[in-house]
Amino acid sequence: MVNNLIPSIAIVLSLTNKRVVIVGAGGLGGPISYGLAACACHLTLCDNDTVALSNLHRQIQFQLSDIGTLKTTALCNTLIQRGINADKLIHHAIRCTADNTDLWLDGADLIIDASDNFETKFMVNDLSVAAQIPCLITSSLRYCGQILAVIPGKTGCYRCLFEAPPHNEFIDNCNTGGIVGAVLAIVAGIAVQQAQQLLTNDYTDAGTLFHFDNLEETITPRKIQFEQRHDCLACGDRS
Amino acid sequence: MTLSPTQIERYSRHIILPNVGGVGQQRLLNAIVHCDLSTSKSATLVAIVYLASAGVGTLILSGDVHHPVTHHDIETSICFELNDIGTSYITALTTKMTASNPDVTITSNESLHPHHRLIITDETHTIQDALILGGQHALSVITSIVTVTQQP
Ligand SMILES: [Zn+2]
Repeated sequence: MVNNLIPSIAIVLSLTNKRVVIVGAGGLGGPISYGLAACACHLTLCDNDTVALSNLHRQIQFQLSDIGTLKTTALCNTLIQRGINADKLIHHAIRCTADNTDLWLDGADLIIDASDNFETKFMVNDLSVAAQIPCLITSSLRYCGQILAVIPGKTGCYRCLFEAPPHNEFIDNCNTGGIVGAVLAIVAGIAVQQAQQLLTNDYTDAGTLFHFDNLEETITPRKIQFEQRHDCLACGDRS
Repeated sequence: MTLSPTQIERYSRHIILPNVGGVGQQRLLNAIVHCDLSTSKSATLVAIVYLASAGVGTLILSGDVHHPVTHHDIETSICFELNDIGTSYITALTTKMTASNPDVTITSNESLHPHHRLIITDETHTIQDALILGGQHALSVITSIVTVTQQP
């Protein structure tokens, strides 16, 4: 999993003009934005939430003085303090939906779902397929993590695998199920690796769900391969 | 010792985990972890940030703790900012964690007796690799602290 090559100038140059939209500026959006900003990508950061004390055990980009501030504003400030040029950052204090894409999807070469809810994950997947823009769906809960890269027209999608959001009574998120912050670091690291692949047209890991459930599996995540489903409501023949 | 209302709020997403609870969180706050910065600095720094955020009460740093923060450190790990450049690792880390979690003490006092040791030997060169490796080691330490059998 650990790559011993220094990121080549060629990779950084090829990512310089790419724009990545990150939906969610919390526990995954923070470290993912650190990694992609270091690759010189342009970032669009979206989140309508504000920083709370209960975020600080896992959302390492924030500090006590950020409590009550919009997460997007606080994250942008942290990135700028890390030396990222403010011209590369756009931020929107909105909840991304299919109805307000004019506000957040503009110019995207890749969409990353770093949200904490299934509704948004399915929305990002469906928009990605409809707009033919690759996406990465990331999630984590308790000690588990999942990452799926979708390339419309080339791989199956999130909906091919999971069909539809689970019913409300079965849904846990970090607020109700809990989370160990270090799990987010691992998911974010894998997500940045896969984002780099997608942005350089390397499809090695695309269309395969990376899943880990415990410490051992973080070292070698389970790789769940699946076919595109012809009856998928997002990407199938009949969609 | 009991958790204060502020600590219950801060660590609420830990406390509701079945394997952690209030007892596990108290174990984290009481824990002393020795972190060796002489190898794999970027991943070790990631692990330190996640251990401190999780409420591991005392982190003893050894190795290059007085090494000044460089641009390269910012580009390959997650904990420093431009205004840290030139200050020592331990000063910059203490400043960061004081600003985010006052429950944590960062020290280079090696006379304390650590309960756990964080030693990472594989070198990483990118933030993403440091996140994965540092996250794995932090998770391993946290898991072993919360699952010990003796009372906190
Ligand atoms: Zn599909």
